[in-house]
Amino acid sequence: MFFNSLEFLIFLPIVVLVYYLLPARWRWLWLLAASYYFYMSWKAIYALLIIGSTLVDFFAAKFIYQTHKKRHKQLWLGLSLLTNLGLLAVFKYYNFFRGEAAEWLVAHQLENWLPVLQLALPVGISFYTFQTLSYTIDVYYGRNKPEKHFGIFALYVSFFPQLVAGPIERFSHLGGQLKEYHPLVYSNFANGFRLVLFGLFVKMAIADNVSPIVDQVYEQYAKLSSQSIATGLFFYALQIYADFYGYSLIAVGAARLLGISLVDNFKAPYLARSVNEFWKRWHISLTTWFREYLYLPLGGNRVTHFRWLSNIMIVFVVSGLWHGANWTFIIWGAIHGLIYLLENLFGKITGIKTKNLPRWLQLLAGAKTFVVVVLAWVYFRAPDFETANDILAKLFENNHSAESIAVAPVVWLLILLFAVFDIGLRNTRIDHWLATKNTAVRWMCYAILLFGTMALGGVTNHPFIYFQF
Amino acid sequence: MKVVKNIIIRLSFLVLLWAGLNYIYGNTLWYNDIDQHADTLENLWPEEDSSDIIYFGESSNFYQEHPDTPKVRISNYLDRMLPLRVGTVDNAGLVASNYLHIMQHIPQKSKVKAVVVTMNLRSFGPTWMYDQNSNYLKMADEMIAQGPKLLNRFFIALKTYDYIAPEELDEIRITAWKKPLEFPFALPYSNLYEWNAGLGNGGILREDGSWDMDKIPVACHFVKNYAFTIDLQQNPRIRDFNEIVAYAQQRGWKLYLHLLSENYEEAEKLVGASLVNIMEYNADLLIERYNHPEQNVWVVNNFKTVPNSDFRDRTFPTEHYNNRGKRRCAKKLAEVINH
Repeated sequence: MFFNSLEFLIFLPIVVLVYYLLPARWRWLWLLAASYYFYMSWKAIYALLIIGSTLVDFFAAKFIYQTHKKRHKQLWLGLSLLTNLGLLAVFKYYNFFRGEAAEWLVAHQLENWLPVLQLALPVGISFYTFQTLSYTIDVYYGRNKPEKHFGIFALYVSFFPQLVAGPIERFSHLGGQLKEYHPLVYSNFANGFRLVLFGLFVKMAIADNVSPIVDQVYEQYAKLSSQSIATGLFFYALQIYADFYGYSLIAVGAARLLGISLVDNFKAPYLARSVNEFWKRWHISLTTWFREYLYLPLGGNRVTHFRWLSNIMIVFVVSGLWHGANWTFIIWGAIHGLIYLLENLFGKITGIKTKNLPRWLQLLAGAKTFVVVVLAWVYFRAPDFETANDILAKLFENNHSAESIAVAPVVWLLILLFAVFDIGLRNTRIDHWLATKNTAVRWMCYAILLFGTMALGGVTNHPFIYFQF
Repeated sequence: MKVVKNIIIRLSFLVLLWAGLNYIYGNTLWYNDIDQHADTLENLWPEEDSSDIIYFGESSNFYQEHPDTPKVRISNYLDRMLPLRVGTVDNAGLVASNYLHIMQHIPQKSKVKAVVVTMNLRSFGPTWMYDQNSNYLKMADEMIAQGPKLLNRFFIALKTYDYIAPEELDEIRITAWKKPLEFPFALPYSNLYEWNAGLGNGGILREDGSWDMDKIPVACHFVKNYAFTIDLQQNPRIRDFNEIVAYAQQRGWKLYLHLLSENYEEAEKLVGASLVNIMEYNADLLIERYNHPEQNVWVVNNFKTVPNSDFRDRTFPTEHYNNRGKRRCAKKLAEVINH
């Protein structure tokens, strides 16, 4: 059940309506049932993975808290890490590493011992495993007490708005809210509606309209002009942003309708003036997770300079690998890591801080960052390293006589509209912004978003990109 | 209670806003979307007021291989042969559900008294039913479904029609090919899949006893397109034709189901009598199922009307006839309609 499906648009109002009709003590159970129904609509059997992960982490955290011996605590944490990372290893990475080692396996006659697994990647596995891991790690470090109510913890792991593609929530933020009583408040309803509507607009009118053009460019790049390839790369940057941003908005909005607040995942990332700033604005919940649970445990910046450099590279490469089991994702992460370090080095040598620069230089820095991010996306989107390199080579070939792609004027118009919204919302969120406007402006915006979503939504089939991670 | 009242008031305003947007859409962008996603409906507009009979067809009606051939459709011949005005609504690859959705747009005040609907035997089989074009055809149906236009447009973006991913379509098709062929006569293979493979691995035996390997692909296409069992309870095309019959009766129209000519001679030559037996069996099944003149429903049986020499295509089994073939079909149609 995708967010941009009729099933979800029927499911969500039913969940919200019943939620407010139920007495407070039963609401968690209703949300838990709804969440499992939501997840099982993809592949029912994979709910067992969530149940397994939930059971292991619930009890692991409990025993970590109860035991006083550090060794025992470590053992329970190890079990949690092994379970969650093991799930990822089997479902997401096994075939990749097996493929990489194929020649070696054949040479040592081990290929039958390690067969290729015919397993479909469970939707959202990278998200909920990271979320539950954060819980046990927080309990291990004494940042959280373990949850006593198994049902609430199970709901924290499976809460449907953010189950399959985040935002990745920490228990300290979401757990308490799941236990609280949320009366029906008009502002929650209005803000939730605004977020869901804007999210659908961003996904359906922007991402789904540019995606066929992106597909065309990535499939036929060999015969396209540099200008068309540049357009395709720009459109992919838009597609992935609109796709994931739209999803996150709907997730936050759906939770808001239930009176629950989720963390924001995006803050106008393409307006970032550096790669460092980009990662503070893009997929914020994942960046935060890596900072808290990988970068800081590695020592953060309180280590030697060389260790710090390697820590940064490790985080970015692992972040790339988190997205998918392919060298292209690793390279994508490494590019971001290298640019991050170069920017840092430049700042240290020159003593220049971007935020102190004159406005026009800040704009230039923003343009530089955007170009870097767009070019790095090529490795993210291309099926393999060679294709990505070919596309970049074609981009700089300057072959204007080759074929061109056709982009309907309405697509450019929608992009312009989206840009206006994105720039306007760089320091706020659509629901908050609309709440400050008078009735006429607010309803004018509703009309534009509703019309854009319903009359101009893309018609090709493109599921949310981040669902595959 | 105040909150609930507030919400209900806002939702009511939202419904009003949506109704306004639906009106704006229906008078502006809708025409562009029809042109893009369901352009066959545009064929109906010039015909709906002036025609006594509307002919619904696919490429069998208009296909022209040679550019110098006069572009005369089966429906054009029919128009010449009848004292009534016959309008044409056609497009490549259309199937029964498309005809139904388009005919639902014929205005109530229209003077249409009868409709001729193309019944293509191949379209009942899994090879056509689950081909890669099926999603597009279903989307076209959704676009012109009865209901608010803006909602239909929204639904096609949401893929509320029965969208099946290309890989899944392949899987469904192959599963259907593996279903047993159940007929009251002996067949060389138990299912289409095995038959196709057997033919592919063997060859076509020439009269002189040598093997014609070049003809294997087209022979396989014949098997894939005609070797199937029609389940009268489950086949989606049967359901669509049932709905067409019900709708025509509701509108008080005479309904002529035009069972197209198939190249049975070529089928026999390439594959053998077994395949022709299946084709005939299925054709008879459809005639028996739908031919009820007492209910104003006729099946016009053109199954064997067009000889092999009048078929255009030689690399794929189609219902693309030359003008002589088309005229033969129209003649038989005219006879039934005049009768």
